[in-house]
Amino acid sequence: MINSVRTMREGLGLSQATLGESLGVSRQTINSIETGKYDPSLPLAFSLARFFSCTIEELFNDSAN
Amino acid sequence: MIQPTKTKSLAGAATGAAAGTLICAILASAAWAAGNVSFATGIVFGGAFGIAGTLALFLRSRKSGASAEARLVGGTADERERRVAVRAGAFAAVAMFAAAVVVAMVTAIWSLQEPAGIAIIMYTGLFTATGTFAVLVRRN
Repeated sequence: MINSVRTMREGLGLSQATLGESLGVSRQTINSIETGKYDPSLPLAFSLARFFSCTIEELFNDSAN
Repeated sequence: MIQPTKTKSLAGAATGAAAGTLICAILASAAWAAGNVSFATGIVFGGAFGIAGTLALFLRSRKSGASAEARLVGGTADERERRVAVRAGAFAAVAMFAAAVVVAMVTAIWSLQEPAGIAIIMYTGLFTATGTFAVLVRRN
């Protein structure tokens, strides 16, 4: 799944570790989400959207559908 | 905060270690009483190694920069790490089933009364679970 987590995170000048700490997940998990290796759960996707003040659709793009 | 995890307390870890030691002692005593000295020895060494390793990971989990394995033992693993742990457990179950089939066939074909078969099945599960978790958590 394509996502713009990295773009939004870098736009705020945050490190993966800082973002992970804010959301209660590890730096490795943020990295896995950004590289598309891991699709987050719905609660985590909502938390990411809330953190970046956007919608889930703006953050994640399921290009296959 | 996503699915907050409860960090296990030192008292909880000590209780777990004590319970594990007690279970190992009971099993080893039963094996010894039944005349399976080598099996009893295996339980003692395997149990001691397992408990010591778990405690070491638990203590490591309380420090910053802990590995995924330590966070899993310490109760601070996040959703991805817990999901990988479930997958590793599923892999281990399949591997143990395969090992059990092989052990059963070998035992039946050669009419062996081999208690080592149980150890083979259990170690297959242990190594598959830990190895799979270590690989998957770094690749996914």
